[in-house]
Amino acid sequence: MTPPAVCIRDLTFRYPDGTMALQNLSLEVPPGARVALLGSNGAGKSTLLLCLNGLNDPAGTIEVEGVPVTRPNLAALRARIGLVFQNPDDQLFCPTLFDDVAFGPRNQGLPEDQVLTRVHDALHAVGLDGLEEKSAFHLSFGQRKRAALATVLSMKPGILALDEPSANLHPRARRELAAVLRAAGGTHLIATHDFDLARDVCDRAVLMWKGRVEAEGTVAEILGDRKRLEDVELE
Amino acid sequence: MHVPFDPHLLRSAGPLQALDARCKVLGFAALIVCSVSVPRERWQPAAAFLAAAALLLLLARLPWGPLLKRLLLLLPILAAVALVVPLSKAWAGADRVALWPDGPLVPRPALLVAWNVSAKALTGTVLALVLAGTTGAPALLDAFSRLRFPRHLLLIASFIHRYTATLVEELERMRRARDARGWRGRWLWHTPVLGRMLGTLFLRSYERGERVWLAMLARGWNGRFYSSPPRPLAPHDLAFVGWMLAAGLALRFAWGL
Ligand SMILES: Nc1ncnc2c1ncn2[C@@H]1O[C@H](COP(=O)(O)OP(=O)(O)OP(=O)(O)O)[C@@H](O)[C@H]1O
Ligand SMILES: [Mg+2]
Repeated sequence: MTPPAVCIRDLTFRYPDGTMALQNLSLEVPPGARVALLGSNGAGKSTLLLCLNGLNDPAGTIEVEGVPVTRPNLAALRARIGLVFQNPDDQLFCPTLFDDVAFGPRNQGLPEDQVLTRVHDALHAVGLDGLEEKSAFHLSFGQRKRAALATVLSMKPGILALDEPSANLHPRARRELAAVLRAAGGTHLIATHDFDLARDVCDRAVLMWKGRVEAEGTVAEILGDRKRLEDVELE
Repeated sequence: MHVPFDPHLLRSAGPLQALDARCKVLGFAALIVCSVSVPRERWQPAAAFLAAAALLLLLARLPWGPLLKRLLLLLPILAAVALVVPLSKAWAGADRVALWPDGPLVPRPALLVAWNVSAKALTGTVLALVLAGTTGAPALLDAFSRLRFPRHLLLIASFIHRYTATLVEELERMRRARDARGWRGRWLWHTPVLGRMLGTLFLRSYERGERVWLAMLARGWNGRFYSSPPRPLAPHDLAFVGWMLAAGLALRFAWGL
């Protein structure tokens, strides 16, 4: 039997300034699921995604594809989980777009010819072919969002963890992004406020509230319950 | 906001542009080192190096506007040299010459020093601009790392290159937000608001640094940077280094040790 893509048990995390960001959070994501993480500002979505990648050090256990997120496993895990930050300027730090998209595959130790095809395929998937030599600050915001996605697609991760991928995108860029995500394989965890994106891309939804899971279900179930959405200040 | 950055200086086509970046770095470094080692008692070698730099500049065919703007940055330094050097006590007793008929008298050695310093500064700057303008920051950074420059310095340079524009944009956004809320200071520096804005900018940059660091870790960074191998060196790349070194030595020693 294949283990769940992500299995979280009793996760608790407090920021150094004392903010309780996650409290006894438990969650299981089956392999291949497309899960929307919904929740109002400050619900703990970004914090949770950072924990998945071993970038925060919470109490409790996280297993990714059956492997616990602990220091010795981090290198292998980070190759499996592609984490895209909310702000593309944090994600694109190399002199050229090519180097940014090649950064992950090179860290995985791939030979240069494979790196080349990975970069090419990833940029093609997000519709940025031919911009390899551009610097990130010469891209438009929508292009930067897609470039940020390409930087992890090139690593061929089994799990995509995306933080607000559609924030600040205009409707058309949003639709293009949804199409890219639908075409990308693997398990998806998408933290978002964008209900349309959740409907377009995801099959399941997890509603977070004050660092806990408030409800879980299909996207239609979660988004259909207006009363509950109001309770968690999403409507 | 318009950011004065090297894309404006860059020209992608030309004989210098086609050379390997590592060889260009070495060649230009050889010429610069030779030019700064010219003794201050002679005026001819400095002039010759300046001419050589001008020749390379013509070969590079860089756009004049951005180039002149960058060269203007040298003016205050040159002016300071021209004013201060003749006043030095070291020239007491040296013979004096008139700058022009009936003009002020200045000590002859002071004139030589001022000329040498200005000419060398101009030569170095022109050569650096030609190198940057014919290579571009990414290739230049890569060349330096292949020449085994300290990795951390290059990392810092590369982040400065990547984030200067982002920071300027951020400052511009804050400025607009301030003005939109009816701020009407006449001079930016008349007000503590600027101080607070710079403080915020610093904090934001600091936090951005942390997030970038996390983004690097998230993609499995292990402390090393990799880049595509450059094309193999061609004979003309090596010939360029040879020529630059030969020219540097020839100009340096043509007028004696
Ligand atoms: N670096 C930090 N230091 C201290 N507290 C933090 C930090 N980052 C987040 N927090 C706090 O942790 C809580 C959860 O934040 P998080 O960023 O995970 O929320 P989120 O669900 O992603 O919200 P948003 O939808 O606004 O992005 C919030 O109360 C926030 O103020
Ligand atoms: Mg967030």
